[in-house]
Amino acid sequence: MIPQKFDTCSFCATITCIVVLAGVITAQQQPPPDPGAIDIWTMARTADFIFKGKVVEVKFRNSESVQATDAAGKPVFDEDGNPIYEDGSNLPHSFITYQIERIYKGKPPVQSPGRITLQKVGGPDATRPGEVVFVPHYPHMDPGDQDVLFVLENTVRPCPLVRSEIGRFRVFTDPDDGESKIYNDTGFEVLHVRNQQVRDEVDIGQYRHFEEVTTYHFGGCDECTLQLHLDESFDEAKPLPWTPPGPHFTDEAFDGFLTYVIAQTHTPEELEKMPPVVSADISLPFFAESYSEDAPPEIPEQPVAYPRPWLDELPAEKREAILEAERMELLLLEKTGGNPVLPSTECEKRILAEGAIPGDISGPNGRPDCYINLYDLAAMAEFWLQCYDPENSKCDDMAGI
Amino acid sequence: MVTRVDRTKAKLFIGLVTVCLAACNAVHAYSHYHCSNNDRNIRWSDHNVNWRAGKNSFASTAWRNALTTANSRWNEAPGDFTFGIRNWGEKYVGRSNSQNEIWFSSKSSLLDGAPAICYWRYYCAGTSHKMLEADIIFNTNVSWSTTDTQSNKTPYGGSLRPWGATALHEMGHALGLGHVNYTYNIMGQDWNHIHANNGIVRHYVGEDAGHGAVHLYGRTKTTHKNDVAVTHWKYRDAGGEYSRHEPCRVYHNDNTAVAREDFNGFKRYLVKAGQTYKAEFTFENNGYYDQSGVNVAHYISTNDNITTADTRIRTGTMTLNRNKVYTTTHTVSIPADLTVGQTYYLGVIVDYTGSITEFAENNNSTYLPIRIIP
Repeated sequence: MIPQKFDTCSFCATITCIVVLAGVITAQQQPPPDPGAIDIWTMARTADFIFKGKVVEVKFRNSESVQATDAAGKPVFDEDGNPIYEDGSNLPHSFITYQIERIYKGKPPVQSPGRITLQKVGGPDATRPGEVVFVPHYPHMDPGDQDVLFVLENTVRPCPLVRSEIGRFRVFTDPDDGESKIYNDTGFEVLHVRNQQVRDEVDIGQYRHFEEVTTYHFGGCDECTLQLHLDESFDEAKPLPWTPPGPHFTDEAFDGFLTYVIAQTHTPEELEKMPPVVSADISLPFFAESYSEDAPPEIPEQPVAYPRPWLDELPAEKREAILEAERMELLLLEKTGGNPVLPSTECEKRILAEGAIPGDISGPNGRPDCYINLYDLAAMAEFWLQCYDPENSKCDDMAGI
Repeated sequence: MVTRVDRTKAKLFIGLVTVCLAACNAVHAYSHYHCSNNDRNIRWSDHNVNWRAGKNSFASTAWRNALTTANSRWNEAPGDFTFGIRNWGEKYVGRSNSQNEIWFSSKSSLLDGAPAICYWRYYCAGTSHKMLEADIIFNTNVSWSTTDTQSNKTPYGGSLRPWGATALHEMGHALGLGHVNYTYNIMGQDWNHIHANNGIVRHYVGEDAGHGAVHLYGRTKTTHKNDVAVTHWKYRDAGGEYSRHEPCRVYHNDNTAVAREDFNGFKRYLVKAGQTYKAEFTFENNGYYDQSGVNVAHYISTNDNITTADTRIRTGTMTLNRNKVYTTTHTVSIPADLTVGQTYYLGVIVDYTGSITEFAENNNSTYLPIRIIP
């Protein structure tokens, strides 16, 4: 703050100095990973099977149940006497079968080299008709979808793709030119970012609306179909400049790029040693792994008091004036509960300390002014005009005046 | 119902990822889910969720307070929906057990490295359109912060992710909202959807998700329905399903960006005393009612505590409706008597006259650090 405001303030003697000019500065940290960024190189390295295929069938089955037990190993029951089950019990799963069209990395399932069935949490509940378990962070596949998928630990993980929806690339026909092109799980163009000095990367471009992206079917359950809706009251928006960082991947170009990425991230020996990918079998009972329930660490937090070297360069008198004014400002801010509108007059300070006198509801600035006068009458009249019906629910909005 | 025309508009807008200068007011744009068979919003019929909080996860006071705060932030939002606590100390948590539970898990592999995940169960048969169950699971392997201290949070160069912001994001899913990637909002990248002033951060639902909650549940029944706010973060672009956010900027009068440098985990802008610039901030109406004639003032301060006690350098008014995130610039003159080499804070206060009674008054001011150059 600028110092002149509180130079003569009478509260100064009571203020505790809380401004620390020096402190330990913690090391600068990287921000959390971008949840939507596509690190194609890491993803290629991580996946144990990368392929292009078309969904030919989606079926659903619940996981088996495991009754929870206490420390002595005895089954436990809820307050109504019903058995309690471990997390993952009776959990609906989708079994999505792809016809494999091209393999970029890994080996196909031994049992069915031309097909793979992925197992993913979510879908209609076999034991409760009409009920569906849905996970907003997971991709949704329907028959006919054509995708490039980065598979990781199929049948083990709740979503068997690297970074869930990020590990799915969709193939759609571009309505503008009729060419097969690559989009991400939510319908954004996938771009080829060419770098001269470093390796090429993948980024996200323009959104294209495809009905298939915003509609989620669940097999033969017509009443289970979901639609993702956007806000229904869009204003007209003027197009703004858009400079994509690279061309939109065609299906063919993506084929070539992925082949290149795999070759760069693996040796032929590594690829040769890879075991066949596991394909899920819906005919077999299965168990879903439980999420444990654990205490999060409590990390001690010390505020960092950043030094302000520029203050040290000021004449001592000026520096002290600034610090004193800041102390007063902080004191008042604490009194207002963080409201930056601080009292500046004796009346406002009195109201902050003691509250407004009864009947003082307004003033020249629309706030109590320590007088009961025509401003208060005008405010009440305005209230009456806006709210004369006690049954009107909008009246409660006037409680704050 | 969304018509084809609406979709075309959406299509036009959604792809707009650009440099945001003056008057770049991102149109609001929450997303949610419909039952296709009856074209109705999927939502909770009783307008509330009361969590069963995991026994180990929420054993400590710090974590209980953090969850209570997150609930209260949604409860003050303008939609008629509330989160509460059914019980602490839930011994047996699980997905798909018809109970609404919230807990932490160390099974990072199941979470795929994600900080958190939300599972829900719905029912659309006939005319039904209801949510039946929601579960939220957080990753213990993330370095979380439960406090409101600014300096050690990831958006400000620290190492701790603000748990409250991620909790609000997942709770948004739990009440029926989807991801949004085309405006500054909590249902995008949550960790830098945040307000800061005086070394204190405040995570919040924000205009877009709050507007979505109104769409799904109608008007809140709380007494105070108004809130205007300002933050120094803005929409950057889309990263997959998520909006990405970045610090607001200072611009020259020709709309070129003023040079900036790293400063205490944030950015500091290099400006000259006595010159005019365009200061960018994001203004939101997080309450129910539209507001016109909102008094907005800019200030110069010696510290990051922006209040009306600082030196006011500009006043004006804005209209803040509950349908837009207003990232915009105002022309300000840097006082000629500021000292070269010194760091100041270019502050802003929305409703600096205190005319609006709000459910949160402590999100009305923020700043951009500046350094005076010769």
